[in-house]
Amino acid sequence: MAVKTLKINDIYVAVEEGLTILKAAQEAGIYIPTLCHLEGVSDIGACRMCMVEVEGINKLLPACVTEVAEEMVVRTNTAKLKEYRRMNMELLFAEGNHVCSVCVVNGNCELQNLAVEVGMEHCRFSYRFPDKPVDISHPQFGIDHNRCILCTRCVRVCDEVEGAHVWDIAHRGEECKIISGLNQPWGEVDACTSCGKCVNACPTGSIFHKSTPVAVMKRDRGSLEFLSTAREKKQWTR
Amino acid sequence: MKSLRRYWETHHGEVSPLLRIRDRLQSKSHPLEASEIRELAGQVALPEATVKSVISYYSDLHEDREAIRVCQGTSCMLAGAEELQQELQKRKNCKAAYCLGYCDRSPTLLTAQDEVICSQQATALVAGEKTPATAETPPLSVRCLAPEPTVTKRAGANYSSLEKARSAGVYSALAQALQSSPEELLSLVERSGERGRGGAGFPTGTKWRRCAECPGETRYAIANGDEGDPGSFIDRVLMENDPHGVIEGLLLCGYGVGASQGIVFIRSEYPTAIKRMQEAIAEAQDAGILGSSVLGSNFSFEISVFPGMGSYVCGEETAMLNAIEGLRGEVRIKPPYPVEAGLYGKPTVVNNVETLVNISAIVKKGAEAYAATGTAYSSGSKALCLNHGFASPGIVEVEFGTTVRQVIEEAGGGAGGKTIEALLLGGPMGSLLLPEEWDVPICYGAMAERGIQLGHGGMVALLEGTDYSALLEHWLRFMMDESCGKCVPCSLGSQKAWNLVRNQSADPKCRAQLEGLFEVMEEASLCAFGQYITGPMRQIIEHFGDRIFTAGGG
Repeated sequence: MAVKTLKINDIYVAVEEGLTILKAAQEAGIYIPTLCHLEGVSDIGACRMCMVEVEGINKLLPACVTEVAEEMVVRTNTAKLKEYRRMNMELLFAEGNHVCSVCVVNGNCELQNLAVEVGMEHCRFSYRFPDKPVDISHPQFGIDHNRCILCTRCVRVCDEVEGAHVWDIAHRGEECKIISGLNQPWGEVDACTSCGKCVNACPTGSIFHKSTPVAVMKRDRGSLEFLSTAREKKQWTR
Repeated sequence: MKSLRRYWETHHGEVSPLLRIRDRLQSKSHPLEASEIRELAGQVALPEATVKSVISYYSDLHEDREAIRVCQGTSCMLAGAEELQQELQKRKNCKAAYCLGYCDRSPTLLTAQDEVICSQQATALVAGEKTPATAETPPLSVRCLAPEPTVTKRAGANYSSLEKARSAGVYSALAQALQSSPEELLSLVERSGERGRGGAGFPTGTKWRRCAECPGETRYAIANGDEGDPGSFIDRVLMENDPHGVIEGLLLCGYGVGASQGIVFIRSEYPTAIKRMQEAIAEAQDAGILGSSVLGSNFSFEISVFPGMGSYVCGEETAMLNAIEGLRGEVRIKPPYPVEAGLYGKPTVVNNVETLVNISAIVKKGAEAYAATGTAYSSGSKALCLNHGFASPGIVEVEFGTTVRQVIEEAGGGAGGKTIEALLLGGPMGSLLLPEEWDVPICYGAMAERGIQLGHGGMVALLEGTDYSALLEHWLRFMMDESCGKCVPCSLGSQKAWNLVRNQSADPKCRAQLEGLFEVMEEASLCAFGQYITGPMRQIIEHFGDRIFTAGGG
């Protein structure tokens, strides 16, 4: 096993070749904010929250898909990065209807936590207040498109872990939306096994267990991680 | 996505799912029923949600096929295409298209029967006049300022028949190259110093070498004829008038890198180019130029045409590969680069059409003679596309090193004797050049030093009296319409920026907010589209901000 040594925020880190900057940082206990990244499924580098500065490279790189290299010098928390992350968050908040006070995951929400983390006190852009539907046709779960940030975690977990591919993303640009099956009500999609992996994958309150009161829903991320570790390393104990 | 990869590989050697989906949609006059899409998903071995997703992604797969397409490219927009479409909409079924490639004769319409109506004829049609018999479509003007034409040698007239192409010398370079080894061809292209003409200016030889040296049996050679940048039309003209020149270039590429399959990816906004390329490929196939024994040698090569489905981003090579594989035209994360893992994960070279047409000239002239032309950084010549804002629009081929001013002077300055206030060079991700910057030589190196993007060589003249606010709004509208939606800064940032310019330009904070957004897009977007499209917009704001921001924020 080849080892690469790099420097993240002035700390020397030695990790296995082929790992991403994000993994290396996690091993060293250095926090890099992420949103579309989910343990156990492939990375797409789309949310741009994990952007880092690498010395000698004149553009920012997404930590989740950039492999480590020998003598790489990485900075994860410069003033410039902080500003970009904050604006990125503002873009997400202005786009949907993120009203924490009435949300099932209030207090347990990755989007909310990240907004606090990056210091987003207010939003500089005018809110769009889109009129998006809520689909509660599934017997156990529901999806509120107003809270969806299009991270595609549900799409990936359903495709890669469950193998059902109920979800996909339709249209393009700002019109993108998550669809189930043939853009039909979720409850009518034959492919859905009601496994609930998408519910556990969702970073916001978009996909939820029905009949959950405000601010009490917690997601079981561990179950997804357990599944991927179990399959890859044949460790079937928790 | 991991498991989708599995699906893709099963399509290897078969018709792409995207083509099957398109054919199925075209066989019906109305949108498909749910049961039909379900059946189709089974046939192409893709999940139902993915088929639905793909149909909603590509404009051609869900928009009205009978509608007249009204070009909304930058040149046509400056010629009043927006008002034209609003007027036409009252009486006829029409939709917007981003660049039909007739920027020299704006405005342009394309009917469902693939008929192009441009210039005064388009305005006459919209005004409800019967097309005046006298107003014939003005012909394309092709000129050459270089000592001898290379790219435009056969661009000025129709050389699409094999006989005519052969009499003009097409395929003689191929015959010559087949006498020597692929290695010799690779070395020749490397030494020629040719750089890709699509915009990035990457050395062609280096790209070929990297692909050729990647391990693996199967390789692909792709000609990028997507030419999405509003403002350029050289690729359209080459594919229409010199399709055999394109085939020869692609054959040479295939021989050099060791590929046996070639694809010409052509945008659906260019129906004549698709038709002529297909006819030329069939003719070349019959003549033994394509097939299992190219010109009697043991080199085997086949070419097929893959039509675009209406998405600008598919001009980016990895998005193009996704489209061919039957998926949404979203950009892939690089590395791996296509030369290592491209189409179906196999080493793939994607070259621009103009780049390929140059290869035969390199073979005939020899690498050293080719490298001696142009500048030290950029060998050879470049075809520039001048829009209707110039007194003499059309295609002008120049040797690298010629200054922008020389080109503008040759074209007689602005149309109708008007002053050119600024020049838009290289499409949406190009640059805006003020008159004092026109002495810059046309060369990837010299321009990069000054932060100028040559792009694909489209030149749009901004004449006195241009409405810069409308231009900026047009730029952002284009970005909104064409962003694939994968990354946050590009898909959401464009919409926010457009909203700022359209509704809040009187707000004193507007300009600062807009510039803040541009910075995030440039630094944090996933691909070159979001990273570079802000360049010209920043320059528009910098030089003409006082005409855009009404609150003195400019």
